[in-house]
Amino acid sequence: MGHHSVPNNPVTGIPDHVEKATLEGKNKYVAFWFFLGGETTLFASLFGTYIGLHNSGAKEGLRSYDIFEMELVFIMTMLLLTSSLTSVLAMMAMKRNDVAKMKMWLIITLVLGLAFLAGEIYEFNHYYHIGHTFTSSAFGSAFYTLVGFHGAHVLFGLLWISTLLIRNWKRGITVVNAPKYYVSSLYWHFIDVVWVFIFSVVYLMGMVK
Amino acid sequence: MEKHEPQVTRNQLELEMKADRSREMQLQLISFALMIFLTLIAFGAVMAELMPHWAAGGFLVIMAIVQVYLQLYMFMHMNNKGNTWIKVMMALGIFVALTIVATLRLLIW
Repeated sequence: MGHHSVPNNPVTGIPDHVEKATLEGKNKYVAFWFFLGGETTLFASLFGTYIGLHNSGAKEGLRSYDIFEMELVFIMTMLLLTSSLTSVLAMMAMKRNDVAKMKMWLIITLVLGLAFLAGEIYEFNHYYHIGHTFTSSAFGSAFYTLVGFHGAHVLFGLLWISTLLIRNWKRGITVVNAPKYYVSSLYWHFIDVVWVFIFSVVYLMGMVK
Repeated sequence: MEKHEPQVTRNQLELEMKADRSREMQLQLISFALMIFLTLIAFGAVMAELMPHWAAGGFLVIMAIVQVYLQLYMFMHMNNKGNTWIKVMMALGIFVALTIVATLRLLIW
């Protein structure tokens, strides 16, 4: 694991592309993309089901265009999109061996992700009180499965990045922890990729009568 | 991996890296601005009720695909050299994804 042939960059003190400087790092990187290819098909099955069941069995007043609120979805979209940028900035800091900046950007990413999740919890709670639940209609089941599964990904991403930060808090950037940070940031971007389709296909399409 | 000529001094290297970094930063910020712009267009078009139902779906999906392309190629650096297998696997994933969506869309009524 520690033996790597890539020399340190004299300016940064770590190898260029520190996340791929070891065979293990390279393997993690490629394997993680393979996993994301699998995640793509998994979310596709949920999207397909949702599109098929859109508004199916939903009572008057509980159809997608009755319940979705644009303001909240817009704010949540901006939060997650911005968190994707802060994650990029964290990885740029990592590559120039600026561990303090990397930690700062990752913490901002976590805060934005947490705010997104709070918005989603508020939203689901609101729907529950007006009668749009997992069991109220086929539409409800498909909606909560798709959007909830994405929300679970956000939660997992938050726990993952927090764990990495806590575990490596007193450490510098090394060829061992850099691949871990890097794939967690790929995961975080992928969460935003899925959300782009959710806000477009589920929310915006759902608001067009 | 870049190889630096031995005669390149540390200062030169530092300057080069700084230039690379600001170029990268600029690219990422432009991508981010484009993503915000695409999001605003999508939300704006729905809010202003510009499109009939049949047109909205296609338009919103195209906006989403462009934004996701930026996310994958800029933020996630999928275009970097040596990513052939990654591209193959993602292309396969997307192909299967499209098949699944089309199938479910047609099967459920």
